[in-house]
Amino acid sequence: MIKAMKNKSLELLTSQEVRVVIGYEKGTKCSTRPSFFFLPEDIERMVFDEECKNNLAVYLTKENIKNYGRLAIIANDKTLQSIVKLISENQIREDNLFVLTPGSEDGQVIVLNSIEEIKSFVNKSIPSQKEPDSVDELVARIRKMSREERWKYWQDEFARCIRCYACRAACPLCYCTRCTVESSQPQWVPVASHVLGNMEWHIIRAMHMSGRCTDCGACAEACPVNINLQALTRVVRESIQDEFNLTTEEYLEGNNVLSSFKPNDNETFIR
Amino acid sequence: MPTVETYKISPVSLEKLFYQLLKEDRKIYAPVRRNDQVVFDLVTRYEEICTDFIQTAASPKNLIFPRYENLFSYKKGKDGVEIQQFNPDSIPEIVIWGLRPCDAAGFKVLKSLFNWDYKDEIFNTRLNKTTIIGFSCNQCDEYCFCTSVGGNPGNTTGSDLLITKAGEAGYLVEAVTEKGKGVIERSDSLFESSDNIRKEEFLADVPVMFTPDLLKEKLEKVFESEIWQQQSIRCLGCGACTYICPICACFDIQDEAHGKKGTRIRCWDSCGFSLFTQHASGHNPRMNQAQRWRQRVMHKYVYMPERIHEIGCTGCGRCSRACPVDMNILDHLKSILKS
Repeated sequence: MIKAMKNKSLELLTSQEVRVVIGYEKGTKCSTRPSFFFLPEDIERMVFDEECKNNLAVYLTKENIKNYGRLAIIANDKTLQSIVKLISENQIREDNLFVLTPGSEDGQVIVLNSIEEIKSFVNKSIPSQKEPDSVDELVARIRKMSREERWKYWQDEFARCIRCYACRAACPLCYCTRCTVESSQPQWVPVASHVLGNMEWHIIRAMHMSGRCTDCGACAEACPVNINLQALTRVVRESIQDEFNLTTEEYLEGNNVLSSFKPNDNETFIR
Repeated sequence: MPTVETYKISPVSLEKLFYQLLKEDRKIYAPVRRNDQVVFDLVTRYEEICTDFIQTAASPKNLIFPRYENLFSYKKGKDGVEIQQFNPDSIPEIVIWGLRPCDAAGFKVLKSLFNWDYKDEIFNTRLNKTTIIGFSCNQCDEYCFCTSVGGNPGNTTGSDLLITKAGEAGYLVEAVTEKGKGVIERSDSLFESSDNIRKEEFLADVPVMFTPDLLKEKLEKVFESEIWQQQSIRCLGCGACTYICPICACFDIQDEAHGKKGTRIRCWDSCGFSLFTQHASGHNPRMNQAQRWRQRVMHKYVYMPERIHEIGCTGCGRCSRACPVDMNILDHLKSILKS
């Protein structure tokens, strides 16, 4: 597949259809890392396999990347879902974007170049049932706790937070150029990394992400002190889908529950 | 410089030394396993201490330069403002046990930084009340580069005692400072003569990639280079690298006010953040991540050597290990040197 991925990338660069391809290269040790390919000869160092875990959609909303204009992005499943969400929030112009992703056949690479193509591919490719993973186990453990125990659990987790904001920086949906946490007049969230400041930061982030977070896990992966942030994002996404009765398709394509208003809302307090 | 005294200690006596220090009513912080990481934490049992690791996730700098600390508190009353200064006497005596020589050396740099012009009393009191017991490295990984920035896996700089595992039979102990010699005097029955142990035989082999002078000379010529943009394009602009670094010490001053009372707090800040240099007018002299990345590198390898005669990096490799997008500082420095 990497061969096909390289060929498509090379094609897009040589035909000057795109200025840059956002993909992966070999990193330190056995890892891979995000990489930017500007020239046909750069493509040689491109890699793509199961180790490519970074959610590259995070780069699509950055000002310096947007300035390149037309670009291509290599997308794993997580990146694809974030792209659909970003499109639904009007953060991406699809005519500027080529999405390269593995197809169902062995070695096949699919090029998606419109909102409709991207959406229909994502909807088809999301498995309806997924195997429970370690995050689900942790969530189940947390759900069994009493309110007090749960509060204590998260206080202990967030007490370790050093407020480096790697969670925010790695998140494709945290694209605000000015975050509420940095507002100084008024200052909503304490800057110091004490438990109160940390709790406020993470609760605000979880609320702000609800209905938007795709549970890609980039925040947890980025955390230098291994806080189990995905236990929070998993519950946020599942709760919103359940409470508002949304299919995965509906969830991804808008329906940002905390920022949309419907005159016929079931709840009377909002009308 | 006082002369370094060398001794030998058996594994059993080393454990006794740990409990002796605990008995002296000192809090001991040492590397332990928590949440799939090795981190510094309070330890009360010797067997909790983790020894098989390359480097802890975060440096122990927070023990002397905490993530946030109160500088003073105030109260507004009828007769004006009443200020209550932070009382340095409240700082406890602590021991940092089992840190790597690159972390111990980091404390020496921090000391220069916090005494550059203003003598920071809180920092100095914390450091004075800390006994630093370093352990030499017998293993390293591809992120380590202490030998390229003036250190080495058996470097005594910054440690009060440096302990080197010399085979199964025992440890070489070097008493580097008066504080370290004090520890030995108080437990002298635990120590034997060092019988000419050859320390070098037991140290990790960390290859030298460059010299600090060569790097500084090169960096001074590439300020306007495209390389900063090329290297930083994948940087996400978080503060993970600076917060886990043993030397990065930029801080923010915040007032937390509650009505007529409040506290002035010093808390960590990072040059990786766009807000770090943003003026009140909205103008930002470091307007993009390339400029911020350049500042981080320049500060460490050019400005700090000029201003405080210390390199702002001990080659611990943590920033590279922790970076979510693998901004490997050693790779970047090597490619700057090649450019």
